[in-house]
Amino acid sequence: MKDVYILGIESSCDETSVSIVKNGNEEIATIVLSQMDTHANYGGVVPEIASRMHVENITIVIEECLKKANMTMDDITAIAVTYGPGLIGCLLIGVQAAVTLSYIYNKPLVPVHHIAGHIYANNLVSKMSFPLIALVVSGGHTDLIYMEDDYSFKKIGGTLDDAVGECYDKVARVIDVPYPGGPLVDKLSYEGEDTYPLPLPLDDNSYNFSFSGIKSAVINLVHNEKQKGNKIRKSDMACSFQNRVVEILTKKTMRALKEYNVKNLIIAGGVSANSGIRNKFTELCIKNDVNLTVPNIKYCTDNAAMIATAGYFAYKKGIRAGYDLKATATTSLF
Amino acid sequence: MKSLLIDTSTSNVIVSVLDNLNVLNEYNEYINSDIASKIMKIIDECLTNSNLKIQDIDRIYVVNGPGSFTGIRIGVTIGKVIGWSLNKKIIPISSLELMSTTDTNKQYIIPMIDARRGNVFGAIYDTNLNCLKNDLLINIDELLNDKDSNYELVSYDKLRDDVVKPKINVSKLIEKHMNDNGINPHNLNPNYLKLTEAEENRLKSD
Repeated sequence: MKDVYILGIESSCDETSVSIVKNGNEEIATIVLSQMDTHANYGGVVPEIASRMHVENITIVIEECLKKANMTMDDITAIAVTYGPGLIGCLLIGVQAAVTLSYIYNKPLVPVHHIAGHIYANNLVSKMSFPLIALVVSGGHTDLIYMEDDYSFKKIGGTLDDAVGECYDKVARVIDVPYPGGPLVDKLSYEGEDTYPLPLPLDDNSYNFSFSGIKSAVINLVHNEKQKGNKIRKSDMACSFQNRVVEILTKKTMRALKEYNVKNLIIAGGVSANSGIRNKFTELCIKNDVNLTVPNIKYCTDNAAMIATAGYFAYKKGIRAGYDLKATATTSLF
Repeated sequence: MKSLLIDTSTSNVIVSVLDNLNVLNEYNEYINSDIASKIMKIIDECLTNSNLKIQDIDRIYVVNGPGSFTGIRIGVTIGKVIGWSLNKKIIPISSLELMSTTDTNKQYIIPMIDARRGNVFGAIYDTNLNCLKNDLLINIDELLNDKDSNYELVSYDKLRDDVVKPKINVSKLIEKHMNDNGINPHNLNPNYLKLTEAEENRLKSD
């Protein structure tokens, strides 16, 4: 069978990335241009600045990727692009570039949902086995997804309010940990003890999550301690918070595996880089004889390799877009 | 010499295909929403109606601002990718200069784009497209202060009663720029004329 080379483009937030992936499992070349240092000056991603930086860099990143792969556009089978969800102004740049490339080179255009990309980052680690449960944890998502087969997604639960990564960043801000707070809270948690009485969020029989309650609990605790003139023990707060988050994520995910009688678990999204989450799932999956896959750390954050990988399976399924492909800020995978 | 011009800086989208100074096909219409998902079909139709392929184009003119930030990013992204793909330089064009191709019996033209809060993106050109006052973001009253009847005010926006709608003459623009060297597509960037709010606030606080 002829090899399929997908050129993936990702620009949904603050990374301009282009990648070429062969047959959905072999990364040929990836370029990720992160804007994180710029946005760190503002304490978070500024959408208009992000859009401006994407447009400045998009063709440079495409060119660098092809150079690194030692390929030309003629070697490419199809072009995959993140069409949503994400920051609309940012998505537009990647989509417009992909549409234009598809037009000029007469290559199929494959729209990829950002979350499908995160899930398929795992196919670059080892071939995904089905059926599987995917836990997607990022700054914008907390979803439990059941996959019967390739590119079939059934949501079985998700966050009712804040995404887990969003909650990490807010807690970081409240306890004065600099941006990006999530990874630092993770690190701090190992230096502290679980001493603060935080609630276990939405500990019910559903597969849904809710993190606004624990966020408020942290805010209130910090506020009360400050009023009393007490100093917050940052590492203890980080440890207490992380323990509760890890507990509810693992509890509901492990229950889903049991109930759906599934032996494959993959974790995806930016927060899958969190060591507390990785460690606990590793321990539980060994104990319960579940095959666990987590993406390489470099593929946890936004990148185009995952888009090109998901793009391969979407391409195989015949998913195509026309030149009127619309970037969409909020769009459901299901 | 085949040329393509793309202007998505305002809701009045212009795509023009020319052979030398002769317009082969032109799209010039108001698009209410979602220019991004419509523009590639418009470009394709203009080329098809001209019996040309994108690969036949020798020179690419891209309006890179000022105007709608999202709008100019759309045009610039397309221009960059076309230029990079076809290995052609890009000739950046001012949206205000393009508006100044409007025919008038007055001496000067003041093209304006509504920039809200009483401000406009504006400039002053003469009828030969010589720029007398560079494109800038300015309070409309300040820009129009002491301007007499020698000035034609041109805008798509109903900024004042004495404003006339632009009547774009792409040939006139191309004639003026047909010998411009153009720039490397990687270096084509939007001309916003305005920092982002976050950057402005940061400068203020420094």
